[in-house]
Amino acid sequence: MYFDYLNVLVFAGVGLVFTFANLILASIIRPKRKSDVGLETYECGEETIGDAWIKFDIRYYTVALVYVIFAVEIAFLFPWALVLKEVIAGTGAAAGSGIGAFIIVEGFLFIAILLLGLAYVWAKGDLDWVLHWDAPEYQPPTKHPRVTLPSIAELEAEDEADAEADGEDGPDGDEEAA
Amino acid sequence: MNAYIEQMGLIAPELVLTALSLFVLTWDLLKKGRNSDHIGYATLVGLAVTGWLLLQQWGMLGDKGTQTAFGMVTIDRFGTFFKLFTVGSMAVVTLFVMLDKNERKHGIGEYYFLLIGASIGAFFMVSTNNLLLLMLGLELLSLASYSLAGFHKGSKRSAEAALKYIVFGGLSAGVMLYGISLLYGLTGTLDLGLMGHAPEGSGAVSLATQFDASPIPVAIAVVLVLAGFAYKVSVVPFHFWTPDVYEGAPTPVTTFLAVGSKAAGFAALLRFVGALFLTDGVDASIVAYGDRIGFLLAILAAITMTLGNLSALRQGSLKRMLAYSSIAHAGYVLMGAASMTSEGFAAAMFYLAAYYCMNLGAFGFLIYFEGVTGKDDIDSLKGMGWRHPVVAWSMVVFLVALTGLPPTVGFYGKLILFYAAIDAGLAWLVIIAAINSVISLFYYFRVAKSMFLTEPVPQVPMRQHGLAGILCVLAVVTVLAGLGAFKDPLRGWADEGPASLEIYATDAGSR
Repeated sequence: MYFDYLNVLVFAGVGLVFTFANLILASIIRPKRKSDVGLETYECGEETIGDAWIKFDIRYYTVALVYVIFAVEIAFLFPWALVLKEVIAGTGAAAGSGIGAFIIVEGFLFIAILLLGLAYVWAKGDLDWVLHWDAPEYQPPTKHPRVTLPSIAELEAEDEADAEADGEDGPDGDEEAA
Repeated sequence: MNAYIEQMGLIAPELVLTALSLFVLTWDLLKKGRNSDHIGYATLVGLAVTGWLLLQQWGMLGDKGTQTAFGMVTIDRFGTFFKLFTVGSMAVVTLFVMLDKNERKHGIGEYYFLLIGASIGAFFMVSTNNLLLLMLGLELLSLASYSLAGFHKGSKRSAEAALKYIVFGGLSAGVMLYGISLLYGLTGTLDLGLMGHAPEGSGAVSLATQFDASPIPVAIAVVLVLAGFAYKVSVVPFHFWTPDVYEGAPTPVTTFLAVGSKAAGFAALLRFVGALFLTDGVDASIVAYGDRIGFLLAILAAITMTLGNLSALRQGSLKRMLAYSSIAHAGYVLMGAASMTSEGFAAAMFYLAAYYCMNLGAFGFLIYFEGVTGKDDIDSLKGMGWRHPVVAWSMVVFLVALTGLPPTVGFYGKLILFYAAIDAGLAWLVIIAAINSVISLFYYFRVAKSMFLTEPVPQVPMRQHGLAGILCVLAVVTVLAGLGAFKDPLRGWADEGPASLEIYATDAGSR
């Protein structure tokens, strides 16, 4: 009763044997000469720098989504075109049903809806690599005041100035003025 | 002009919704997002037209459904029942979006577009016997829901909700597709009717034949598909996404997820189970297996309602409490499916109709309350009953209905669910459900207590007359639908559903 699925098992088994048999065979017969160059990831090209697990810009995904619109369009238009050809030629299952015009209208309706999607993306500014739609105006970064330690000579000068002020107005003079 | 084109009239409501979605999107683009309320009004008009067409369709349809689009779409009263309630709840959700004080007034045209897109998905999901179109409808509904859950782009919790939803959703869609592919491999068809009963020359093998040959692949396939539905309606153990998504999503979206999306999932589940195990002409072996699936659903129902209610007890946030309460209610509705009788299915449909009214109301109250205080925890409700009496008393009605007390529609819905389950020999499940109702009384009335029996917290009173009016209407409907004059027609409509699925009526206790 479960014998029907034996071919799946056989298929998996042949796949495993084929893979590992080749690897083992290759490891037996290939020459073994170890060198630093041979252990590198690539024989040619650039050395990789850093990790591939980084944040990608969201705009790559937007472009990928827009691509999907057209991929779907193509995928659905091929069978549509084939059926339309059959109807016009008067062959096939739908021959003589008189729905040629209906098929054409439906196909173009489909394209129109997809084009609306493209127009939406365009109008929202997602086709521009540099976004401008809702981007706030550029404002220079607010700089924190640079902290520079005063020299000893400056500190001494300040102390002298304070002492002079205390002598003239008293300790609370400045605060009352403020 | 032509048979194909004449049949397009049967899917006129869906066509109207599609045209509406395109219109809304184009208008929003042309207006560059200014004054989105106008788009909300346009949506309401379109939904009204759709609802009118559906009512016409209900009248035209006989006891049996018809098929169109080469058998892909099945139009019957079962589907139209759910479509009518989807349109109704969608109109209320649209009003909620327009009246939500925490929502912007401009640049939210996509909100309505996505809501309409989700309802198109729900429409096709509830009106097909073909697993391919069912999956497409489910995905359309889900994709729109994912974007809606993350609609508040700046909010971290909204983004978290969307991400959790899409990860869980993608996983469960994969599981379900695997089940569907197994079913297709076993039977050679995607049509549920042919799976239940394959006549000579149809080129398909009925599921019963395959079950007799080897039961395990059939069992795996059916359970995998059921797992996909269980995720959509948030049945334990596929409920983990529910509280976080409901809490993080904008509240009108939560309303839609808890009401429209869940009911569509249940409709598809009932149709799937009904077509495979309960329709006329399916073989005895698969009917016997269907009873075991029913028992599985009964166990899931018991776990779901218990876990949902016990978790709801401890929630401080009203939104999270309602999320767990919606899990518990999924358990109650599942009782109807678990009965595996036409009475059980009709009871589930009636209870879902009741659930539409009372949950729309409860979430509407949440939107009102968030508009007043900007918070969603139960402690901030203090004194709402004295400051906003109309809204608070409406909420009390919804709470009474959610608990399942007379004289509301919630009571009557639970009553016929319990009857159907007892007739199907599930008395133990009814006892668990009754205990659960008592548990739920505690946390529902904690809200009422907070509103009326505690000292008011000083807060700025803010009137939202529109929202208060909607809540009043919903409260009146919730009470009236439980009374004879309105309850009996609703019961009649719900009874039409299983009949149009051609589920054979069984004598109670014979199976």
